[in-house]
Amino acid sequence: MIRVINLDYTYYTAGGAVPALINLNFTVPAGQTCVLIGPSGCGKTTLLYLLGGLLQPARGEIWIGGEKIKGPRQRTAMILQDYGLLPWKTVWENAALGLALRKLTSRQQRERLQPLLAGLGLSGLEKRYPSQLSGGQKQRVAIARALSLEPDVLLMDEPFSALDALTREGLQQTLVEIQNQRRLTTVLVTHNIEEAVFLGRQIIVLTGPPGQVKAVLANEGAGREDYRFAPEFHQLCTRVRQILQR
Amino acid sequence: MPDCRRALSYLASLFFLFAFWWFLATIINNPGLPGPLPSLQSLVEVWWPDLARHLCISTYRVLGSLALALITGVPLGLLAGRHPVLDSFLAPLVYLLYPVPKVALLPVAMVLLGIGDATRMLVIYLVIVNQILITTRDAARQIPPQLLLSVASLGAGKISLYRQVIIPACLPEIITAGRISLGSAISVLFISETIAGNSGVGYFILDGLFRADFGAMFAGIMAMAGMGLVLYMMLNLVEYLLCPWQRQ
Repeated sequence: MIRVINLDYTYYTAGGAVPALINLNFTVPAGQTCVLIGPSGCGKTTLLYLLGGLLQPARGEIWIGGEKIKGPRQRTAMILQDYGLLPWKTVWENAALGLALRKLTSRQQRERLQPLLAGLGLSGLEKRYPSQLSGGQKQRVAIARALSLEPDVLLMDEPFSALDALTREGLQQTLVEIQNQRRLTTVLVTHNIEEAVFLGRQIIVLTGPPGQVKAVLANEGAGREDYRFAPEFHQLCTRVRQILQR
Repeated sequence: MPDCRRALSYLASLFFLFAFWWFLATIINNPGLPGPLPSLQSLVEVWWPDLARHLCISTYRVLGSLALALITGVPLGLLAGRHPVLDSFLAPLVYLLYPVPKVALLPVAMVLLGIGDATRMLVIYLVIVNQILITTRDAARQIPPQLLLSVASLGAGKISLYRQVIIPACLPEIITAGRISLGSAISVLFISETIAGNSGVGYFILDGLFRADFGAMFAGIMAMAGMGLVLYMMLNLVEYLLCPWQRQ
């Protein structure tokens, strides 16, 4: 479970202090997917960095699984914008990086990665460099790298924004399947309303800047196979759009 | 096949250069500019063993100062690129020293260090270390923050970040800086070898001039050009081996 309590964050620039997030409070139950949606500059990415322990809050607390966050947490995996793959490492080396940093032997790395890469349809691409992959393949490598650490929390920043519509929907489906198998507590940042409604069991609408919670919506149908065609889906999309435009 | 084609185009350029040289030598028709064939003949038949000794000394001076500049310039550049505090101290220093013609310090170095290898290498080093430091720093500054954050989120500490992200990200630029510096280094080497002492290809070329032995002079020039070419090719090979992701 993720709990965010009275969270503030302020950026310090040459021009002075810029508040980025003000008084955020929300809870993501364990094993659920929560989507953060809001306009650009509302602090979505900052919030994700805070959840991942890459930034420290100015005020307030973040608790994950009964543990207060003070820095990067072992079992939190992050997928940042632009996939975060290192251009100088092959698909295999990129996917194995987290395991290598945790000092697993190459045999242990192989045992964990081979089934993961196969499951994500990346077998045979191990020796390629990221520049030789399509956008969807890159995103799959990033997912493999995240899952290799056997996380219980997965944080994603605009994971599918650079992909074409079909690849995007395919990967959204992949994510739903991973979610069904592994029950990760997931927080996903997006600016795409359909994506938010398809994936987010809970949708948090942020406004800003500075970022504040405008609405928290429950979304029972999230991840259902035919959900995209259901009237509730479109109703909820419309509602999110209205809240964003208000 | 493209490798073969590339080799052919290099050979064609070489042939073109020699043809142009031959053409110039023919129309100028002055013993001060012998054609390529007599020069080659003089290089291979008359001067080779002697010239080889000078070539070794010159190569040692260039490579030694390049290595020294890389060993000191690269770490400083990486640190300055990643730590603004260090950069705010280093940047003005580099900026103020950049326009000072380091070659002008050659006489000073000779007074202080004598006329041995150390003097020449110091001056070459002073000329090229700036180029390497600045290029490395700028490359280190431009690393996308998402890459660093991604790897940090996997649990990488400071040292791992340098090893896995910062150094490889800057490596192509560092090698490019090395290539550019190589040209400057050879120019400065020539000047430094013509001032004092009795070793090195620069000395050999000037000695040929003073003896009006233009064959020897051109043998020396060709040896120096060949040295530059081989070193340049070696840096390309280093890039090929160290940066496999850059291969086309």
